[in-house]
Amino acid sequence: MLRMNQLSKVYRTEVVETHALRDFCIHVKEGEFVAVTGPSGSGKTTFLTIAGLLEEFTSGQYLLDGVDVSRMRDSQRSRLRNEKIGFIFQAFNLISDLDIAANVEVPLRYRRMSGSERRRRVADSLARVGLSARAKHFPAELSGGQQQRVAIARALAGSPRILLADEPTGNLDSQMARAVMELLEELHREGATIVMVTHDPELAARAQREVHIVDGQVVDIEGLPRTMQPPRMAQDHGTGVSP
Amino acid sequence: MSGHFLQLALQNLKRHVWLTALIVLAISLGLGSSMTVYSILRAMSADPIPWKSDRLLTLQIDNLGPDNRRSGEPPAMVAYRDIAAWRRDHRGIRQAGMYEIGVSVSTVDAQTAPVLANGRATHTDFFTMFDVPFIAGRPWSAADDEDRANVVVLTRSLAARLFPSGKATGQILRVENKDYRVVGVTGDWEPSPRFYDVGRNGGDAYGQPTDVFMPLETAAWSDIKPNGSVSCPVYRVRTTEEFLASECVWAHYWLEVASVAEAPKIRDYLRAYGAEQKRSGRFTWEPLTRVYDVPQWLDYMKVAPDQLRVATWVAIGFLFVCLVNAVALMLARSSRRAAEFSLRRALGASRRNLFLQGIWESLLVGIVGGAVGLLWTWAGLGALRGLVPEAIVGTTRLQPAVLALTIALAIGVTVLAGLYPAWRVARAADALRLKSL
Repeated sequence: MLRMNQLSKVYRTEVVETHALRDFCIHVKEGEFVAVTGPSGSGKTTFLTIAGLLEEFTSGQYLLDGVDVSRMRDSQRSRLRNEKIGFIFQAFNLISDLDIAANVEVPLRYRRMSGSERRRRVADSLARVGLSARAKHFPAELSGGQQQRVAIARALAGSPRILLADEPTGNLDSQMARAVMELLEELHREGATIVMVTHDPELAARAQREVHIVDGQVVDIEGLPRTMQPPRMAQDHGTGVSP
Repeated sequence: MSGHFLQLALQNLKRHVWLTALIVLAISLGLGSSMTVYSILRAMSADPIPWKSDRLLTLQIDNLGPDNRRSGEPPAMVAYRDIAAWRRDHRGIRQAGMYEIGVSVSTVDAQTAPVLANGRATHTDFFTMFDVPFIAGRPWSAADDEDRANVVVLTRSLAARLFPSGKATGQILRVENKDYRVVGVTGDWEPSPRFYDVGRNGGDAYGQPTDVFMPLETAAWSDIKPNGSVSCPVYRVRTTEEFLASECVWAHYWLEVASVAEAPKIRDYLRAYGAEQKRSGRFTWEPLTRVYDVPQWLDYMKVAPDQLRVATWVAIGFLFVCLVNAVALMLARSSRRAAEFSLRRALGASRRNLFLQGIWESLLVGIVGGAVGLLWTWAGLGALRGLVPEAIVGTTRLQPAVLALTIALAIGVTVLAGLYPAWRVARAADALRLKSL
């Protein structure tokens, strides 16, 4: 579903060259629920940004659903992002002056989709997260947990092939976080492919497997780059990283 | 997608209503001021008879000599003796001499009070040459010109004033104590500027409208003096005969040629005429001759003064400053919405989508700015009523062309001003990180 081979991302200024990702390899299979962990500045967000086709990488290869995205134009990348990727953000990122239904509709607006089809998808997505009754409410009228469920509904509305979640419970209290996590697990059981960036070891443990990033590289528990580990060890740790 | 962008644009205008109002104010003020000045310039430099203005020619000759040239040019008006000679030579398909008169007009039954009318003494070709419409009767004949017949043509307004209860044609009028027969009544016709009677720097181009016309020779031999200036080399003229034979300049001469290609022939003719006059001993100098068509004539006489052109450029400069402010305000508005643009990008919007969204917003602001700009223009022209002659202001009413130009300019310049902010938004959304949303 998502495969990165020897991928590097370098940020350059006139005086500094920062390697955000180096020889980064990862393979997420269809239907997997992968947690991506690592300390601050390790490259988690850069990985998510590149995985979400919001940023280009410096070298290497990235295949999304079997499609090589390396040489795509912006319009092609945008269409691919719109059709195959659903984003869930830490801060929900709902548009405050659009009602819930309109917020869920936003990604559908960038597809040539009929109004009736959009309305059907919005209704289905809101029903899926249990917020049908709140369709005409505005984000400020909902709790944090409800807002994140709206964000999940928005991510689901386009029937994406993969969900990219960036600290999806980071702004929620424990009760709401639990509810959101249960929703993600439920989606996974129904077949969704989910990649979740998190700091929380408890959340990471609830994923199917965990990928740990340090200094822009996937590492095993002892901190050695996965590319330096024998393939068998990688499988033993269950990180799913491509050799 | 256009409907979606329009919907987004409306939402965003409502969301940032005060900032949007400032942008609209900046654009509309710039437009209002520039369109006000442009309306005046346009009215003053408009071609008053565009369908034949390049075939209507006026002639000048340097009969007052080098000492009486103005900026090295011959007098704007001509002497009657030249008019008579040019008419005899008949080089155009139509030609007429003309001068402005002011006469007292009354009905013979004296039932209406005498009217002090502004008039024009001319030849019959005046009406066909300048396409003057008639609502009753016809122009006088060429024979009437030759015979110095006592005939007049009235304008609709004077005819209605003098004969409120009946038709004017065939009636007898008393003009300066002589009786004249009304042979025709003209419809509404008043070219603006009045190209055939402009003075230096546009004088008289917007003066009193003409009420009555009569044959030039009839007026001249009736001792109806020119209402305008008369320039003579020496003042020893005592009789009408001497006046008409003198070098005094007090009339205009216009002719119509069949095609633009004929104009050079008229220039050649006039040069030859000047040379002949010198050979005959009339001039001791090489006379300058000039032939202008209508646009050249209006330009030469500076009907639209240079100060007005400068004012137009100043107004355009002000519009530019307003646009720069509008761009700055648009950038400020864009930066306030950077997070939303990044979000939209993450949800599948391409750079092109974001750019187009920005352009649609500019388009909407442009339409509103244009509408408000029209109000400013209307108010600006209204404010000018006390500052410039009524005749000029009267010609500067908001015309459909100015209206259309204002809206088109508003949309054009606003979209142009919105290009950079829209481009920046489309690019900047990339640079933002998901975490920062």
